[in-house]
Amino acid sequence: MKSLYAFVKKESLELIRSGKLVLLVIISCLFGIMNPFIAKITPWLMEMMSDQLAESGMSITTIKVDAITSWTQFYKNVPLLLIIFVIIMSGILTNEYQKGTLINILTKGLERWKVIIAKAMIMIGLWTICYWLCFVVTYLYNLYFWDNQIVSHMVLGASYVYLFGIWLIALILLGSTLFRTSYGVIGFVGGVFMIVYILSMVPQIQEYLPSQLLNSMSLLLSTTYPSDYLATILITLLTSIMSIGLSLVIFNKKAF
Amino acid sequence: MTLKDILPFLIPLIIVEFALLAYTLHHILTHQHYKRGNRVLWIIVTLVGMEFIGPVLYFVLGKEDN
Repeated sequence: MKSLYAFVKKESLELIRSGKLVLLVIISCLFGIMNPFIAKITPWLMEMMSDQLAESGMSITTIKVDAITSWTQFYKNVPLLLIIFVIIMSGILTNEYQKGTLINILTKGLERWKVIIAKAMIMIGLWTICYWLCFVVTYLYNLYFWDNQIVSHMVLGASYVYLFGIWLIALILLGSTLFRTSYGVIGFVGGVFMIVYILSMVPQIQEYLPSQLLNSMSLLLSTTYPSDYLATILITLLTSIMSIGLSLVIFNKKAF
Repeated sequence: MTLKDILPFLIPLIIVEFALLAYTLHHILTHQHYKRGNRVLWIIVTLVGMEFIGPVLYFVLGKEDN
C-alpha cells in the first residue's frame, strides 16, 4: 500500500510540474464561464442578425433566455472538454514507454498493477476536479442571472456525464496498454467512441450504450427520468471495470 | 444588452485568459528545448491561438518531457 501511495504522490507531483493541472483547471474555468456567457449574448446576437434573417424570410420574436439555455450550452460544450482531456491525458503511459522511465521503477519491485491503478486514480481525480469546477462555475452564474429551480435533476444529470468521463478514462488506460504512442491511444479512444456513436443510431440498443449518458440534458427538462438511465449506467460501469481489468492483464504481460 | 450585463462575464474571462496566456508564455520562455518547433513558433502559436487552443497545442505538442 505504501508503494502505491508513493507512486500516486509522484504522479500528482508530475501533473503539477508538467503544467497539465494548471492548464486543465484554467480551461475548465473558461468553459464554465463561456456557457452562461453564450446564453446571455444569444438574444443580442439574434438582434444583430435579424436583418439578414428577415431577408431570408425568418422573423424573430423575443427570445427567452433562462437557466435552461445556459445548461444546454453546458451539455454542448462538455464533449469538447472531454476531447481536450483525452488529448492531454493520452500520453500518461505512452510517454513513459518512450522514455523508458517505467523500467527502473518496475525492476525495483513495484508491482505492475499498482502502476495502472495509480494512473487511473490520478486521472479520475483530475477529471473530478475539472468537471465539477466547470459545473460549479456555470451553476453560480445561473444562480446569479436566472433561476436554477426551473431545471430538475441538475446535479444528477451532470453526474451522468461525469460517469461518461470515467468510461473514457478506462478506455485511455486500455488504449495505453495496447498501443505504444499517444496517437495510438487517441485513435483507440476516438475509434471506440465513434463505434458506440454509430451504434447509438439504432433505436433498439440506444438506451443501453454509454453514449446515452451524454443525452442526460433531457433529464433537466423532465422529458426523461433518472430510472431511464439505469441500464446504460450499469453497462458503463461494467465496461469501465472490464477495460481497467483487461488493461491490468495486458500490462502484466507487456514487454518494455 | 448593457455593459453591466456583460461585465460579470468579461472580467473573469479576461483574468482567466490572461492567466493562461501568462502561464504558457512563462513556460515557453523558461525552457530552452521543445519537442518540436522553436521558441518563436510557439510564442506566435500561443498568441494567435485564440483563448485556449494555442496553449493546449503547446502543452501537447511542444512541451519537452523531462
